[in-house]
Formats: sequence, C-alpha cells, structure tokens
Amino acid sequence: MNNELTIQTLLNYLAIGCILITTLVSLWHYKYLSVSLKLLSILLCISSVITVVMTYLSIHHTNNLVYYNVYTIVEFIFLGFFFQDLFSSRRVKILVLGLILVFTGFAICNLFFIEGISNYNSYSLAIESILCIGLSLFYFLEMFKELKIPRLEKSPYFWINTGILFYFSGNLFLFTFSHYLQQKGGSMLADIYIMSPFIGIVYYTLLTIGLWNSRKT
Amino acid sequence: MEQQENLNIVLLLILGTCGMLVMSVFIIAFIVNYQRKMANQQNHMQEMQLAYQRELLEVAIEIQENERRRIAKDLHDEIGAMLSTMRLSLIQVSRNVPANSQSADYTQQAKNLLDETINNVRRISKDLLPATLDEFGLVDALEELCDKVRASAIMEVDFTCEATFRRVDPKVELTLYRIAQELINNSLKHANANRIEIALAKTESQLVLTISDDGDGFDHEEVSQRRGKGLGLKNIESRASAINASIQYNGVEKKGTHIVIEVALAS
Repeated sequence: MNNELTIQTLLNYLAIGCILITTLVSLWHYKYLSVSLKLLSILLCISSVITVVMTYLSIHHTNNLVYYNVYTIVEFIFLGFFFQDLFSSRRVKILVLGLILVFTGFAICNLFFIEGISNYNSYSLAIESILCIGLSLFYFLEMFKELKIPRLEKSPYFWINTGILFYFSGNLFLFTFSHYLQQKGGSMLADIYIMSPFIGIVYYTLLTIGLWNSRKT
Repeated sequence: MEQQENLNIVLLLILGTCGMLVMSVFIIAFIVNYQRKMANQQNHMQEMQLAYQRELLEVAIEIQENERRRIAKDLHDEIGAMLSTMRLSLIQVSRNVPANSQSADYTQQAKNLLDETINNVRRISKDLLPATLDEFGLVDALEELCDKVRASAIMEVDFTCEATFRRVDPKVELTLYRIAQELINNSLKHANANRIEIALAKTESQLVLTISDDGDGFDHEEVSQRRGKGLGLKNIESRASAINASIQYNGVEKKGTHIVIEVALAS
C-alpha cells in the first residue's frame, strides 16, 4: 500500500512537471501560435495554476474538488473554442458553439444541484470526455478528407488532437466509475487512479510535441 | 463478495487497456491511410499535370501544322499562280524577241530563273504540306520522301514496308512523317552517311518506324544537353510524346545511327 502510494505520488509529481513543461513551451512559442493554439496555451496556464493549488490543498488534506469541478467547465470551454477554430465548415462551428453552451449549462447545474460542488462531478467529466472524443474523431475525419497537411508528424494539430483523444478516452472509464469507486472507497480507488497521472503524462507529452512543432508552421 | 468486486475492477482495467490499444491501432491506421491517400492524390495531380502538358504540346503542334498548311496554300495558290502567269507572259515575250539576239539570251536566262523559282516554290510548298500524306497515307508519303532524296543523288535510300498496311490515325501518320523528315535531314546534314534505311512495320497493337544510317553516329544525350543545339531532337521528342510514342537511340559513335520509334495503336 505504502509503495503504491509512493508510486502514485511520484507519478503525480511527474504529471505536474509535464504540465509545467508544456505550459512553458507554449509560452515560449506564444507569438508564433495560431488563434486555436493560443487558446490552448491559455488553458495550459490555467491548468498549471489549478494543479499547483490543488496539490497544495491535497498536501494539507483540504477538499480541492471545487477547483477541479470548475476547471472541468473551463477546460471544455477552451477546448471547444480550440476545435471550433480548427473546423472549416460554418455549420460545424455553430454546432460546436452549441455544444459549449449546452455543456456549460449542464455542468453548472450539476455543480450546484445534482452532484454538488464539493463532490466528484463524474457526470460532467464523463460527458466532457465523450464530447472531446467526438470532436477529436471528427477533426481526424476532416483531416483525412481535406488532406491539407503534407506531413502529419510536423503538424501541431495532429499531435494535440491525438493527445486529446488519448487523454479523454483513457480517462473516460475512470471518470464514469469514479463515483461508484468513491463510494466503495479503500484501495480500489487508489489502484484505478494510479493510471490517471500516467495518462496525463502521455497527454502533456503529446501536447508538448505539438506545440514544439507549431513554430515551424 | 469482495473477490467479485476485485474481479470487476480487474475487468474494468482490462477493458480500459484494450480500449487504449484499440485507440493506438486507430491512430496508426489513420496515419498509414492518410499517407497513402496523400500519395495517391499527388500521383493524380502529377498525372493531370502531364496530361495538361501533353494537351498543350498537341495544341502547339496543331497550330504549327495549321500555319504550315496556310503558308503552303498561299505559296501554291498565290505565289505559284503568279509565277506561272509570269512564265506564260515571258514565253509570249520570247516569241516576239529576235532569235540569236542579246535580248533573246536575257529572256531565256529570265525564263530559266523563273522555272527554278517555280520548282523551289513547289518543293517548299510540298515540304510544308505533304499532300501525298493526306491523300494516300504514310507509306506513300515516305516513299515519295525517299524518292526525293534519291533524286538528289546525295545518298542511297532504302525503304521497306509490310505489303498489307492500312492507314492509321492521321495525327500518328503526320507525326511519324515529320519525325522521318527531321531524321533524314539530320542524316543528310550531320552524319556523313552513304546510305539510309527506313523500315515501317505494323502489328495489331503497334506501329514501328526504324531509321538507320551508316554515318558518324552521335550521343543523343550529349547533343540534347548542348546549349542551342539539339533543337531538332527536342522537336522529334516533343512530337513523339504528343502521341505517346517511345524513341530508342541505339547508335554507336562512328558506327552509324539506329533509331526506333514505337507508337501504340488504338484498338
């Protein structure tokens, strides 16, 4: 148990390090970034701040879920506008805007009236994951149809989109069953949540690669 | 109970792992198919560009041939006719000039020059517009071309062709005729040859024109790369590419030239 916790703590700090590195890379390249990547950069800055605050609160055994639940709403708003900028069709842009508005409304209701502000908002997290997976897959489809990118490995959007798909797919089942696992408690939750920072590390690494390549475009 | 819960958790983990594996496979499949589609698109673009260039070439050649046709017609109908009228007038004049006088000599000289001019105009007009090719086809046109070269007594010309030879696409016939014309001119001008052999063979799917001489031979790549030179060869290659014909240069320097032009026939 202690060893697992130590491994989890190590992975958590590694994930925090990855977030900070990705944020620094995005700020370093900020003036070269397109509108969508600038939005992502701002999201990363917010993510870094929230992560540091949550880690501090966690160390002091204070409930930090309020920040995480609010961050979930902010995260989807920024990712939504990120995807909206990527899509070329006007209809799709309007659809994405609609999704942002609907999700934000639902998540706020969930925060205050359904699952509560101090509890894990697994419904919001699950829906956010599904929407992000859908947007990511849709963008892959658009990339495949339009063939605008001559070399995929040099495209920041390919790496970032892959990261988003990987992150939200990987975390979807964690988010879906976190409420159930939280009620059961014990080591089961810790066992599952050892995967979460690992998925985060992969996610932020892919974002870093994407942002690194953004300068060349 | 606890065991069942643990089993559920493990199953969930396995499901999650499988899900991630599926996603990885999806990403890899996406990359592979994307690259393949890009490559196909680029090939398609290249094919379209080649087709467009070929079309431009065909148009340029057609314009050139139309211009030649117009000039040949003007030479024959206008210049040729006027020269013939002048000749008739000169014959009238010569009848009224006293015989064995200086005027008679000058008149005869003028008539000879006029005859030579009329023949040159006729020859230039025929070179520009080979009427035999239009009326009787490639075989007869090549035979006429060879007769002209033989008549000049510069070198021997041997033309062989299959006995049964039906006409093919006029564009193909004209192109092969022009190529033969250019190659014979090259042999006459540059090869120091004593003999040219022209052979025309036809299969169900192909027409093959072979032109050989016993002259000095040449390195066609070296000639093509020389600035300002090799325009005749470039002209031949342009005309050949317009009808999708292939050219093989099999000559050896100092041992003659052997050129084979193959063109596929439409079924």
